[in-house]
Amino acid sequence: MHGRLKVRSTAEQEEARRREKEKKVLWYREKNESIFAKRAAGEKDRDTLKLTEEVLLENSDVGTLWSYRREILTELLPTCSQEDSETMCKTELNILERCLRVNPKAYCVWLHRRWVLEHSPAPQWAHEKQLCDLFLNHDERNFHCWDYRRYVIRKAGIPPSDEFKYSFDKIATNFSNHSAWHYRSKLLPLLHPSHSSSNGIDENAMKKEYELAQNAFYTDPSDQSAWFYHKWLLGRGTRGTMIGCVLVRRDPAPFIAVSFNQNVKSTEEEPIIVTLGDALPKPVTDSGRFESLWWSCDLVFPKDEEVTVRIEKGDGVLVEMSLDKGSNSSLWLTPDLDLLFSTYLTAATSEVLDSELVMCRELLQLEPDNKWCLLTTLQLLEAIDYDKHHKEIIDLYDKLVKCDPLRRGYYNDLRSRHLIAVKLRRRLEERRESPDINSFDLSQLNLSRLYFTQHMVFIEDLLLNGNKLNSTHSLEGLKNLKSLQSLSLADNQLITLPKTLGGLTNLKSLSLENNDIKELEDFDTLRSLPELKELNIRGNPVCQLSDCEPFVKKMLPNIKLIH
Amino acid sequence: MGTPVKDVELPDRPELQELLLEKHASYIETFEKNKDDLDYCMTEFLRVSGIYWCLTAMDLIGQLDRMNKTEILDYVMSCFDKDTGGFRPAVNHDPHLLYTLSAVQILILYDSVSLIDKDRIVSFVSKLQQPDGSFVGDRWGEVDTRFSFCALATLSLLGRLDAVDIEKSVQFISSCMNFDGGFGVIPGSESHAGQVYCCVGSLAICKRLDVINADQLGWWLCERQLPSGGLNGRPEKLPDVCYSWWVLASLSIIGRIHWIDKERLTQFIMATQDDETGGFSDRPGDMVDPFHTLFGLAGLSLLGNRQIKGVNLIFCLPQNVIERLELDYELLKE
Repeated sequence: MHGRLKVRSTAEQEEARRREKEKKVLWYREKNESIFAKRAAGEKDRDTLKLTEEVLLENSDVGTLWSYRREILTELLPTCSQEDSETMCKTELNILERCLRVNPKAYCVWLHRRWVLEHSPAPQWAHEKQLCDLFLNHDERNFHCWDYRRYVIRKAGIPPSDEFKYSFDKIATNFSNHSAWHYRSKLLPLLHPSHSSSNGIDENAMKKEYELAQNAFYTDPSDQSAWFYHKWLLGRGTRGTMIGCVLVRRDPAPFIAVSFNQNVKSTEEEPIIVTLGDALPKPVTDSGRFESLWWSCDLVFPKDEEVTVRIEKGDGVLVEMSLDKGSNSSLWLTPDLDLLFSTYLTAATSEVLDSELVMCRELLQLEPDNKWCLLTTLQLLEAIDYDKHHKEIIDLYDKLVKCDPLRRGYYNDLRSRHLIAVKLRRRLEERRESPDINSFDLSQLNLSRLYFTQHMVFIEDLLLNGNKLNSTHSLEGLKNLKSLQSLSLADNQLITLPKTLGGLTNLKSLSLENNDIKELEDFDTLRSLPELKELNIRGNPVCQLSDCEPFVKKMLPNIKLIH
Repeated sequence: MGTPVKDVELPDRPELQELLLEKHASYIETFEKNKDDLDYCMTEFLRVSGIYWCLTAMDLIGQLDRMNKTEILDYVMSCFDKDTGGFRPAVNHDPHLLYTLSAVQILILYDSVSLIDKDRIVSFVSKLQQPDGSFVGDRWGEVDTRFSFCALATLSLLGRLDAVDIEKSVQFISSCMNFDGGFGVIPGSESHAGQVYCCVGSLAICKRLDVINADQLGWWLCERQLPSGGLNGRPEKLPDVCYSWWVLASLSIIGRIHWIDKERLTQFIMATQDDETGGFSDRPGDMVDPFHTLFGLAGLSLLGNRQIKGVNLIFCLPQNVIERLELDYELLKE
């Protein structure tokens, strides 16, 4: 019952309507009963067609009645003359059109129309296209009709270039027509394919599309469709898989961890393969997981010997490194740190990025608070050089949160992602120079979520104090910090302890100072941390509970508790 | 020229700020009893789905015992078509995947799967898979990603995902992905939040959420929220309570529910309650129905309302019911 307004009425009107409805119920039931009786008796004649027509004109959503009509037509059509069957199909199309005028979103009506045309002796595809034009003039977003149109176009053999023109006309009439932009995104690669460009579309054709989007921005910069289309033109992100770092350790237990730029699976067709020295290559077992960090303890390193380690996955991802004789651990870092943290505008050349940035900056002069333009400017800056434009990018995020507070959660996450990318890249570069760096400071950044933690697998000391981390999902990434010994989550907004903490088995010191933890049972998670020596829970509501200290001490007898 | 933002204004009615649980329960109870009502009569063609909406709504607010279990199970079983193994929406109507899922959901809810011949249903569903991995709804050959979801969800609930080609199912769903990261009815169709839910839910069941570009899709989904706080299903469309489910569940499956403003959405859903009759409508001031009542309640549950039971993101049944089955599916956490 979509969009039916509730109307107030007098008792008299109410009563009249009630009687009217009662009558209609009786009529409807009687008709249906006789139709289903005929169907059960196997009757397939013109009278039944008439009967179902009456009901369908009142309620065209009843799929079974259309099915019955198809059964009848299947029986009758082969017995008719060419002329007669043409007339029957025409009648059917007329009924369908009448139903569609009342109920243009009925799935079963559009389905039946296709069936009739498929079974027509002389389907008039040109007429069907006109019908689509008509219905799309009436409701330019009716997705049933758009789908039917694509079917008709295919049947009629109309070239994509005509439809590309049609999508342009629809957009020109109304730049907000998302359906028409969508259609364009499907036609563009068909009309202007290119093998050399990264998204498979000819560059000259792309230029024209950038211009079209720009026209839309200048007509109404708040129309989201053109901005979504623009983002797609820039390339919204199919990236190749690459490895960020590989950590190998002999003691206390053999350990190897591989971080990827995105979540990957280790499947039978494309496993992650580890080869140690001269041993046989070993695929990492397919556990169905979809992760950005893969690790294994299921390895045997030769003691006191240099060992080479090879990691492979699918098309060309390959790392070769060595663990020297006498050293306990070794970290391999990708030479291409820039690419590791780069954002998603993969289809655009740097020339295009620059010119689109100029366009956005000009538009921002006119529309300084337009969120679409702010976001696009920011994403272009990130794609061009996220490190160089760091300060401007952060200012833009802050502005976006103010202009579009409904989506602050989205912007805050992207902002966190950007900040961590900048800090982590610098830290990894430092690590490359000095192998004893194992700490990382992400404090006081207003982070709402952790990102890129897979590349922090070697970090032993992490400061996350003074952020806005508040829930389990924002800290999901902690699970990747397999080397972590000391963690500060002080001055955040934690209400509960994330379960992921329980997996940090090397953790020695944990600060939860000044959070909002209320339940003693939360500390249960920490039982699985054998190395934990120091726990700071000062400034949490839980400390007010009289049994707080004895409870925690009983649960974790060997720790120094600061409360 | 562009169109002005399509949205509604929330009425200033303090009495709607409270969740009218008792009224909603009595609305659903009466709806299922008033079998001579015109609306009830005209929607017979989807009866089994209607029953599922009513039962789930009642269970979510802890009032399931007000429904007549014996009568309902008898009716649902009378809709089972022994010849095909599918369920009819109502006696006399033709079996279809849509109602087969609803019927199985009802049987699971009532812990009564033992009443049926599982193998027959599994055979009905698996025969509807096409060589390209898509599913047709019934013998008339209509293809739709909704049917992919119905098929995969039904089989998952019955513990028989092995009966279809999962790899092909995933391939077909992937081919329905669009420039905005969303999914449509068939390859080439425009993104629509209802289809997004079906596709994301299917991929979660197949444990293949790796197919999704979660940041792009999450962006498109959070842009469904309008200034009124309500969610629409496509750009430049009006908000509608049912998208509190389709959009919100999809965002939750991909771990990004906090990308919308939960408080504002809660206010919108609350404003669609009818404080005279009970029930929820699509938009404030419209007529209520069981469909929007279920998705209003389920949406509020996802938003963390403690007066409503937890709802399962993928199967839209109470979480305690799904936990009984120990199903295996994937959710994105990062």
